[in-house]
Amino acid sequence: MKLVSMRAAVLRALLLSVLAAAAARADDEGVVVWYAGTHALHPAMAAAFMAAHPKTRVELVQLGGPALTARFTADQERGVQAADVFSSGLTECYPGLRRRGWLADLRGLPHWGGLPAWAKDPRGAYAFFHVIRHCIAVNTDLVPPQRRPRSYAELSEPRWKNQVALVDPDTGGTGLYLARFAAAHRGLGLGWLARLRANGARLFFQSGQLTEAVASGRRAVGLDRDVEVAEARRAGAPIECVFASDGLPLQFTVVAVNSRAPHPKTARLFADWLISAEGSKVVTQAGFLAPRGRRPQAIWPKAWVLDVESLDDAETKAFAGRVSRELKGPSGGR
Amino acid sequence: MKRGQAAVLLCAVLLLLVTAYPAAWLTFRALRDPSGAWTLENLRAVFAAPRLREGAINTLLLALTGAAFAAVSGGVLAALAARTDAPGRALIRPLALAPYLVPPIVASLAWIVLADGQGGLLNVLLARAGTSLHVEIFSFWGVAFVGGLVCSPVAFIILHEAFSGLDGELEEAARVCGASEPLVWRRVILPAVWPALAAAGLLCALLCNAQFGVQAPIGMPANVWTLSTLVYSTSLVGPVDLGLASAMALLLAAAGALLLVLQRVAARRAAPRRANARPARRLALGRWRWPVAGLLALYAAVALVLPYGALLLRSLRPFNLHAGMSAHQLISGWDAGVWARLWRDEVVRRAFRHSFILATATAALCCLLGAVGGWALYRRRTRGRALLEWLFFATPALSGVVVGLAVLLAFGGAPFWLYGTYLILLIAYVAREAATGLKAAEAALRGTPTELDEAARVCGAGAFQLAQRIWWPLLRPTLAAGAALSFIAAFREVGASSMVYSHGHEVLGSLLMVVWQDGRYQELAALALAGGLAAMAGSALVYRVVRGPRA
Repeated sequence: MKLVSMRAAVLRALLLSVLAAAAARADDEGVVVWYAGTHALHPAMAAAFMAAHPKTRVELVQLGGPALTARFTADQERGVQAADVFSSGLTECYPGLRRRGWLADLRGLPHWGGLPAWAKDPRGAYAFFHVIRHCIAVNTDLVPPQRRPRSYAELSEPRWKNQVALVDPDTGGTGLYLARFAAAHRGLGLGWLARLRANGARLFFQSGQLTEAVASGRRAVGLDRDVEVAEARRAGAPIECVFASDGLPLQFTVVAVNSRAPHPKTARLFADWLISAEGSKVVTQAGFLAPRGRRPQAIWPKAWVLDVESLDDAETKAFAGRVSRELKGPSGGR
Repeated sequence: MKRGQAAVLLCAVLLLLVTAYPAAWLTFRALRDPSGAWTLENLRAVFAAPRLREGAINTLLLALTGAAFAAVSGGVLAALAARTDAPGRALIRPLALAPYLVPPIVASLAWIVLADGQGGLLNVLLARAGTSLHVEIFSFWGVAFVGGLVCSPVAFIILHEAFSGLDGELEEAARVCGASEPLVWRRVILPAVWPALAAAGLLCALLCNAQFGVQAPIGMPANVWTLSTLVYSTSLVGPVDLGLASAMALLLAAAGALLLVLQRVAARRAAPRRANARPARRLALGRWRWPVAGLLALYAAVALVLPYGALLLRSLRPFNLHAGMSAHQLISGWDAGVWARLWRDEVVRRAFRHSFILATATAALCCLLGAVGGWALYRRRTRGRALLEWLFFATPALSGVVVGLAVLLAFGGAPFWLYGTYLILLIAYVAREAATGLKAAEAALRGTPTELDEAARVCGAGAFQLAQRIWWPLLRPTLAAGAALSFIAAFREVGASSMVYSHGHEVLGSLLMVVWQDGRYQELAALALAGGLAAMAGSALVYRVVRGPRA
């Protein structure tokens, strides 16, 4: 018995020393270029990582999901390797990137095993480290508590005429994700989007613009996400998140490592830190949720998650065309 | 081969490389499917899909309405400045040129802050004043108005030249024959400037056609899609389809080329300024002086005070003012810290540095190309002049997004692999601005008698001495103006920059696009104001260096 525990201790010590040596070598690379979405959680995570690894600098490149994916794709197609780690909320793009061989296998990362199965790709190309909840953003100056919307469905009613903002599904990302939620929802359907539009809902290019429009009072409510709303609140905007009673679309911020990363060791070290308990702590301290434990649907019965592995480019293009026609009338086909 | 011929050949090769080669790639990409087989499917899709057809129609209508607004506003200002005794005449020129300083995307932001139908400042003020008046920028007319406003300086420059260059003798003859002042304007002055008006209108239509910076922020939320915004959306966001994007870009390029041909025909018909023309008499406005002063004040408010004021205000507040705000919120929500944050931001500093270097290089290259091209076109009557002239003028007719896409396709991958370098940005800028250098050289060369060249040759001067001792001193002042204009245009360029930039090679234009997409309007307003000031300072410096010390 004693011999077994001694062997385990030695093995553990060996493993730790190997990890420490790997970390030290990764620190030698000095920098990790992180392509990430635009919300404020990312700078906070970069800062926390740099505090834990003082010799490593995180160079953060922030763009909206669709633009970030297009930039990563353009880099790969033209043989320019700028990104080490690629994190977007556009979960549906990752299976395609994996199929093209652009994502490294992360299954060997020390903290990979600690993640629940639903939060990682079985083939090891990507994992979730942050849960994004869709919500109805409300301008608190313009909408008193008793008038706040309770559900997505009611936003197509006349009392919300000319007051709703949503992200244009034609720009991909959040708008298209919400359209997929509506299409899958029994009570809403794509017709709900058309009714919103007919009710004077304004389309915005990306979530950031939508949040600004609600925060600035140019629209009273908007179909937004908790990350953008929280950031605007921190900046002093009169805005709040209302979680609808008829559905909770969830998105995830994903971590993946470029298979031809210019700084592969730091990239893996950083990716591992993002999915570690330490990384999750930063997420929760910022007021958000990290994917730990049970499936989201087990926690929130109304939660809806897109099955990204069932999608491909042709399906996405066809769906985007259908949404566009539904939302913008017969002339809306791409 | 003589050195002169070699220079012309080099100029032609460079232009072929930066204009014709990307255009060929665009065509190639539009006619191939993803498997590499030849197809007309992409072009068919442009005409078949109702949305794309609607985009093409919107593009045309916006070009025409924007151009009409620009020609009328620029024309009225030019007539007032050149031909009347309007009060504050000296201020009309800077006033008319002011909208040129900020990129269209920033002018759009200013007007969104002012005239959003829901919560725009003007609407808030109008509602507080108890009026039922309401303005809505998110509409077809909103895009046309801001597009026209941004283009009006171009119309002003052309028409001011036309009004100033009229021969006063014709007008005097009409007056001597008893024609009243309105009749002189109707029968003599307006017919004389009509070709210039047509040329200005067509040039503005060409620019409005290519105005991604207005069509994206105002047109997209209003569901007014154009070919430019569809190209951007299809090649950079949403489901990407480069074949379809190339086909739309090709259509946009064809429309631009057609407008360009019409513009060149109209410009040739415009009467050139006669060297010995008698200056025309200024019209005394009499009792109309003060209504005209009011009109100028209104234009100053619309073109200068309101948009720049809105930008300044927006740069000082994290979120916009709105009707539901309490007095306390109005007083407390100010934050000038954005300026310090931008100053400390490494990416912002890098973008400004890159923009300055690339805009300077663009100005230098465009002037060099313009000088060599101008010499070949207007002095040597070289063979293939028409082709050379077309190479110069083909790309400015195109939207920055189209040029960016073409340059990315042509130089981003094999065999050049320039994606991720500064050179690809420089190529896009030179492709867009080469015509400015040529126009500057043309203005100088056409006004210089050829006898000087002949005299120098008789005295034994070679081509190099001729260039150094005769042409350079003569060309310098106008080339300096061309360099300053190229500098401003490259410094504030957004469409092409956002297509071809990469991490580590950010420029001001790409940064503005990213910040706009994120809805960080406070930063955008501050960046725009800082960028406008930097562009002015940089262009003044470039002008000074190229022009040299005054004699």
